[in-house]
Amino acid sequence: MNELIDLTLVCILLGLASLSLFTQSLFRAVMFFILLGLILALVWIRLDAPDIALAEAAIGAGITGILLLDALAHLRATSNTPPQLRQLKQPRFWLALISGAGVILLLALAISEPLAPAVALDLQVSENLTNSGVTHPITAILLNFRSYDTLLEVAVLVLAALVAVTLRQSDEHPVVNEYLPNPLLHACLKLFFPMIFLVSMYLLWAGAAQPGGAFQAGAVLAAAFVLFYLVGLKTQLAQNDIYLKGGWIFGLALFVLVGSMPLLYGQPFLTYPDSQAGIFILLIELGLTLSIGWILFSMFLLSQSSPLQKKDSP
Amino acid sequence: MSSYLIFAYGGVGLCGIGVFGFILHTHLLRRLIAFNLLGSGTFLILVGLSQSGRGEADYIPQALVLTGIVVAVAATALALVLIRRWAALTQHATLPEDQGPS
Amino acid sequence: MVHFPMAGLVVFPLLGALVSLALSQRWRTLMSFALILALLLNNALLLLQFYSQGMFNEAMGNWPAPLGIELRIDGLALIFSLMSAIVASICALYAYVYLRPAQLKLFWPFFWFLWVALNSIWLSSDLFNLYVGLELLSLAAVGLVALSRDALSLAAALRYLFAALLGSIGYLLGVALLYATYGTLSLVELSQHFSLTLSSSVALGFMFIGLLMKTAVFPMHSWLPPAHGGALTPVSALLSALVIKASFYIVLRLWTELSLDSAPTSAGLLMGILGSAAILWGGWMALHQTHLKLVVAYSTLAQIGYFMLIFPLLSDTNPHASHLAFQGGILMLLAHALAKAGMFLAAGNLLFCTGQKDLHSLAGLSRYRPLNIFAFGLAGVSIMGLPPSGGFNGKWLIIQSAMLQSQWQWVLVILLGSLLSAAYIFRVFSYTYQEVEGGDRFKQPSPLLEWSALSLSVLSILLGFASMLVLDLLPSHSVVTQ
Repeated sequence: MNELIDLTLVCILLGLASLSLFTQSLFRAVMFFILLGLILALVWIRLDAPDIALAEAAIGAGITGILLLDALAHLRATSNTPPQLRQLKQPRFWLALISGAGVILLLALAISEPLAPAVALDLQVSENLTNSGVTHPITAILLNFRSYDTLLEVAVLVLAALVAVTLRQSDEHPVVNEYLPNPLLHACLKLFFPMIFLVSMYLLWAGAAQPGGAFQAGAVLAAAFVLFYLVGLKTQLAQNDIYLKGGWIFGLALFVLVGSMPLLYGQPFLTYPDSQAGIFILLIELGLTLSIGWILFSMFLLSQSSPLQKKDSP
Repeated sequence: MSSYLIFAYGGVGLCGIGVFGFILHTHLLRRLIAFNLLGSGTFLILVGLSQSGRGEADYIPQALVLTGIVVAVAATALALVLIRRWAALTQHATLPEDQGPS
Repeated sequence: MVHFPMAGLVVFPLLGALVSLALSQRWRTLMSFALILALLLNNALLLLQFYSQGMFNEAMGNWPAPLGIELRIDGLALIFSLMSAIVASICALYAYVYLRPAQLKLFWPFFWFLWVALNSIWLSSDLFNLYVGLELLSLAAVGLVALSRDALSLAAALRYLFAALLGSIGYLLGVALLYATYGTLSLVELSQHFSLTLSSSVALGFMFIGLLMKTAVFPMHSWLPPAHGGALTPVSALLSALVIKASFYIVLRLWTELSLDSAPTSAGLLMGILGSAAILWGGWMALHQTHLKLVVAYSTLAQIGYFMLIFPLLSDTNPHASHLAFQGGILMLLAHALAKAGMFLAAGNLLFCTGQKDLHSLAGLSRYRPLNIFAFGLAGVSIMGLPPSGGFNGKWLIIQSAMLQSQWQWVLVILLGSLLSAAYIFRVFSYTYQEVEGGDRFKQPSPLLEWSALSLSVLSILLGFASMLVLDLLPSHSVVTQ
């Protein structure tokens, strides 16, 4: 029975993937892609990975979807060439087909081999969990055992935001904040904001012991910021370059600072002081949540500020 | 077949479809969607296959996938910024070499 | 304080990135140069530490591998770290004078993130950490390409981004398969358990295709010339000298640490064929470009081909010849980093003088701007592989290794490639020697620009005299690790 559910999920997944790539309308393609993200969240739950399910729903489907839809609105003026599937004479088609089929064949061959991993890394995780300062293994891995990865990953996020602001500054269009037309909606959103903020903080707090953590909390916080922006409160904060960039680097700076402290005491980079790892992890996660929320929000915001300039000439 | 392995095969399918779409499409937005499918497929293989070897949840690949998702979102966001800027400058959503005679 | 120098390689550039985002214009430049000095000093300290205690590891967060991530300083990592420190510092100096203030403001954070990524890749011995480092590197490089913000560079950035993303995913697919098979991400531990089964071969295949795509090995190279040729000059130099080396470095690491030299020779042969094709194609294309920076960019394609020739020559049957090839490859990588950075900077100066991209506009420069032509020529000597230069020594070692193993086809390719490179470099020269009427109507680049280009070119020549000093850092038979 369970296998039937799994197989059905896989079929839906592959169907949605094909639809999102080969449907004629770009808008529908993006919609199918977002739907695929939601189905993926279900798949992650079936894979006993609730953390990823949360992240997939919030970041993979949510944020990516919003960004794609937003981009779509700006690409309206461009020539939308529908995918030309029937051009069998094109070498590109055959190259794509052979590559795709080759990848499937090779991967299927590779994963059909029986597995007997020589190293049991998961045992090491559970053995060292008590010294990590948190009780949720994934948080322990992300912010203690492999915190160096996470540090670089946050740098990647800051970098992406930086490219966005680099390309924006050549535009002269300032952010135009249009108030929502419906006062009822306005009031509702105002009410929602503190609730979403609370949810975000709960996710962060819960991350120490159960699924949740800085990245999921950050994505939710970004949603809160977007609402905050839509109801038209204090958006000039986001237009000030210093606050904008300060918000991005706050988490990274805190991380680097906490990580470098042990160097002064003759210990390796990113070592937490004995028995206080939990507090430091929470501190770093708080910084990361705020920064991630802010970065994702400013991606949204920066995209608002550069509308496609309509030109008469082609 | 364990459900972990089923999803690993699902990941293989996603990767294949992703590669096919990535090479076939010239529209940059579609290519970006294909890249994201390819990424999701890879993540499914990473978690599904590792867990099918052990027969239980393995937190290491799960943590890696969390990192991977965030990196993928950053890359996607960056690509979208570039694509939009490109479209604003040229009114095209494809690269010059793919625009063909029209 | 023992832990300081190694962590410094990552912490200082990270601080640089933070500082350049947080501070005002003047402080940002000042602090950046202070941090560059700190990094140079840090590298020197690391070199001393390496001389006194040899290779060493450090576990991030005090969690030893495989649970945590270990950084490793060995000869190879140290050479690449020193190389990036030298090239990046001089490029930063050049950028400070060359770029407009608005560009410089944006240049610094990207520059620093690029350096973080490079150092994290040189040091890492963890497969997944390398993936994150690669992504950081690609995004920083794409950001740098897009810095000039015109349509041409945007197209180049997009093309580059998509190639880089596809490459990263290929690499990550391989990592996924390897982790599922061996249960570890630590390169050291992996090498202990590794055996060339079907799934491992598929995994390595995906990883290599991805990495070679990021290195722009023929036939996956088409993104490179517009990106490197079209970027702002200091950016071109950084990309060509350092960024493409990072993905190649990972290939080299995997190949040597997983003892692929004892694998079937067909894999090495394939790498050699790709390399040969790159040498000939890159050289041929460089010969037919009309824009100076595109000549230099296509020359990079050809040079990447030479690096690829290491692989067919690494074999466990002849450790001595194999070691020669390894040493030669490292020397070529180093010489190329210095010479190509010098060449791009010199080319940027020449373009600044004429204000035009076209090769024809170079006429008369030999007479009026000899220093820049000299810098370009010195770098050319190393690229062509004429003695005395780092490029010559590298090529010589590779040829020796090929002759010892009777693999004559590579010798032939190297000689043909050298002829081609001589042709495209002398072709540039021939334009500069043409006489023009009207006397000196060229702009004069500031001395700092001229001297930073020249210093890199001179270093690539000096490498010819100091080759043994560098090669002594490598273990005496690093290839035959058991």
